[in-house]
Amino acid sequence: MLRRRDKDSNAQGGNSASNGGNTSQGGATVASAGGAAGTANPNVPCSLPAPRVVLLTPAQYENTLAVVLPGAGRVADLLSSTLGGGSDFSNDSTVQRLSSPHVENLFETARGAATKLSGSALVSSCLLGAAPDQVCVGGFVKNFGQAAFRRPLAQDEIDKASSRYQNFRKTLSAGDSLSALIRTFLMSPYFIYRTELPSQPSTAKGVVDLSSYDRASAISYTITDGPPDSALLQAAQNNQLATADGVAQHVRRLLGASNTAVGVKNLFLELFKYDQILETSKDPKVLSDDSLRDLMRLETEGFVNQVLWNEDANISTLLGADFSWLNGKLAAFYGVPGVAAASPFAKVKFPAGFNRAGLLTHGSLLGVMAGSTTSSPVIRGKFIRGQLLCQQTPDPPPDVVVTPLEDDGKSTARQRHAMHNQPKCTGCHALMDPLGLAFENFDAIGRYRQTENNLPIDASVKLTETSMDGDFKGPAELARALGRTKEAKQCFAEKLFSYALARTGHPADRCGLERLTATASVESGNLREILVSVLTADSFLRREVAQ
Amino acid sequence: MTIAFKLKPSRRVFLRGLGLAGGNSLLSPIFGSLVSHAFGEAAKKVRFGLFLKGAGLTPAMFRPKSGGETDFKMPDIFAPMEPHRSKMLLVEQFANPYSKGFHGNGWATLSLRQGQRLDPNTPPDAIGGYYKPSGISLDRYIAKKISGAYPIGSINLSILGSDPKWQLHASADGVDAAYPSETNPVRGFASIFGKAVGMTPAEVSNTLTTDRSILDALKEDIARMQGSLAGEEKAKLDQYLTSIRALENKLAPLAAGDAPKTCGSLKQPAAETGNDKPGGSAALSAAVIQAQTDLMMNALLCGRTPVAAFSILGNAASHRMWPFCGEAANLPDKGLHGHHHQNRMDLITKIYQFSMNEMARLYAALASVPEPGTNGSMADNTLLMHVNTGGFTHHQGYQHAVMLLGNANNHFKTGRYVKLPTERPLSDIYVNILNALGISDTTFGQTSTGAVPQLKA
Repeated sequence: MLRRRDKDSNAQGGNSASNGGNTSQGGATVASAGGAAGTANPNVPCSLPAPRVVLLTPAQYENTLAVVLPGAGRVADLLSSTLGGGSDFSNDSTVQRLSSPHVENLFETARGAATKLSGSALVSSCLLGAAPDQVCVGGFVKNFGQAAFRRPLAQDEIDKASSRYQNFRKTLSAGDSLSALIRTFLMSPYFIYRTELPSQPSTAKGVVDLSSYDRASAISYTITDGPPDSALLQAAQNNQLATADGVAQHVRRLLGASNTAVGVKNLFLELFKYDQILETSKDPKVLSDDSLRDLMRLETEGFVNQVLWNEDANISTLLGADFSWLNGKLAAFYGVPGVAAASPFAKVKFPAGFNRAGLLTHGSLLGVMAGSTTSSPVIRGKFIRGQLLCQQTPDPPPDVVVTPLEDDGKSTARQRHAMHNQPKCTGCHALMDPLGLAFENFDAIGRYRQTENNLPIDASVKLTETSMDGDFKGPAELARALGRTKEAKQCFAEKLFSYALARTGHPADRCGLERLTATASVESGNLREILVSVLTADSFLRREVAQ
Repeated sequence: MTIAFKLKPSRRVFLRGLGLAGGNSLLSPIFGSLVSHAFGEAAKKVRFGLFLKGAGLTPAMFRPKSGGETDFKMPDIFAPMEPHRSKMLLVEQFANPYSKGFHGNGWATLSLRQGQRLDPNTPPDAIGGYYKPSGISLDRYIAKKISGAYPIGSINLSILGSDPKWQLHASADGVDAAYPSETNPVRGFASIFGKAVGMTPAEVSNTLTTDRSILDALKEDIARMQGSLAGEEKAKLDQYLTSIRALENKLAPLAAGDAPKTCGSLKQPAAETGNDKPGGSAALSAAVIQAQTDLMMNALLCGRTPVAAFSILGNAASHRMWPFCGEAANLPDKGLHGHHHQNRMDLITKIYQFSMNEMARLYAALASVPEPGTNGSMADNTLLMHVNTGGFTHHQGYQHAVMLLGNANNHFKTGRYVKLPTERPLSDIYVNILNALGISDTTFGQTSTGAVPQLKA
């Protein structure tokens, strides 16, 4: 059976750890991650990643800045403009680079932000006096530094920062000196990165706990996309995050409300990229009313919120729900009966036998995974195979010049995709095309249709290389079945694991991931419980010092 | 609007601003170069300018319709180059297997190395079928070789946004290490020419003192943090430190009168944006494109950097409209992308002519300024290059043609259209370019076979 690929071994051309073997599919070799050596026995500890630093994403930087300087305003978009990417998730620490243009951007952002002192409760008026004493300066440094670095400052850090302020005062005004001091905090690596360092400095080899404050930050930035709140910081101070139970208590607290779990919402946005519907090119013949784009984005955003916080948070619901989050206009576009034209966004239950079910039938995803004028069974199929089942298919052979299958105006997509049945293509396309062809009842913007070029659409498919192999008729049936598969549950767990660890494909994470996928939370398919399992795992809370 | 500096800081004030007055012992090599440059050290003798375009270019548009190697009829898209034809070299028959991608692979066009897929779940024939930076790009490599004494290694400008999926950052310092472009001319001006514009001497002094102190503090924090890390994690902070040092190098303000004589008056761009969003089909702004060319021009003329790159259009964002090139708003399938698909070669030609006019304008400006200490112009020591990251086709292009402008210290035999007898790796002409700029490498990227002898003077 086709299984997950070890990304690292694929990307780097080799991996010393053994894997579960390869399967060959008509020329398509698909590696498997199963059965890594030494991980089957749960009593054998997994190897763990080394202590590290994780660059705050632009959004996390902005959210942190808002805590220490509430008047600083929005800076995330500007910072994004000089930060490269290249991963499923924006927090992936393995692809973030501090290029000189980005550091200059940070420098100028800090310069601008540091002038916005008026909203900060941390700024004491005693600093602005003619000759502030050491107690005043030290007090400010201690408080501001703790807020900025998300941990108490060591005494030597307080002393150095205080000394810098006094030096600034020799040539600058009180306000400018304060701004300069704040800039040193905002540019410090302790501000722009979050650390995952041992609780006690040690050069001894072995597994170590992250410090309580680093655990607090890791939990907070993962769930809320921002710095730890006072309850988390208090818990860190009281050493309540030293145990998995203590961590779980705060994870559940922060996961409990949709308004605080911004990071989790971001996870689903980045996983499904549904906001790209705002940018995806669509021919006016396909989409004449551009306002539908944002409605589709809002549908998916609202639907994810609904499933995660007002329903059962289950993967099967996410992929197979018989409801969505619609307003009157979008309901009319979808052909959902019984929704008044002026209705605001709300949960709308579909009638029995309706043609849509769950996330995959949202206009946002269907539109993003399509061309300007035509649907794209290959893109849709590859997305499901890759992002929902975590099964990757290889690129086309190097001697194949890939060109999009243009609509000839006289055939259906299924007929055009029949050219993939030739031996050179079918090995991989047999894995992708059926999954995509099941959604052919939706055009390039997700409008339901029964014909294409006046020919009837056949959305029945036969799936292979899944645990649900067999015949399916239409998108709703397939979507519901997908949500119940073991592969989908394990794949979601892998995505949540990667997001929480802020990296993908690291060899040291393989064992931890395999342990995770064997847990009852993954079996249950409850996304919030899977996150609790991830955030209380050794992979998240501990690190391994090599020497 | 022409901006004059309110005041020219005296050398003493300036030095004090840097913490160097009164016999300060911190006069490091970095400061030495920074100070000497800020006070008008003679411009360096080699420069490189890069113009990138995407969405592909058909062979018929690139090739002269008639004539021979030297008396060729100028192709329509290069019409603005006619005044400079004696300094121009059109060359084709290059290939780069790594350029292949739905809309090309901009990173690989400049690095000539195979890159990893940006999203392995998206097929290469789909929007999103793009790649990650695959190695150091030509412009950044040249910068590392020739820009040591300049305040800025290289500048990288573009007219479209920053999302890597749109392949707009063709410049990179290595694998997965994009060197981002600046899309906003106003921000670009501040970055290249500093914040001293309009400042008093005291403000200049205080700004420099403060900025330097902050950067010093950061170095202490970085060293402290590095003590808890090892390997790749430690290297992340080395990268931060390197970037901080690059920033230090740039802090020198460019003051009127203190700038090189080649600099001329600086014009701050109008606060215009609008080209920086990659998706959709909104109209581009001619003014922003021209302002970016001006930045490139002034950065080279003023000796701020010897290397400037300008991506006039990335690959996948080619739906953006060019109304100032005659594109009507109601066309189906818009922009260069749509014109290729709809075979609207007249519009593609006009868009190219607009871009080529910018390149010609830059060259003319360099040609009009004497190179200090020589009998020639700054253009004599400059090489401009144009390449389309999409190659000779709109989709999956990998066969490239290159246009060079300037003979760069007489390395190239210009005034010619050359179709090489056999296909060669694109990297080979990059080796010529490196050699012309005084870099004696014999390979670049993964496929080099060496410099192309037919191109040499």
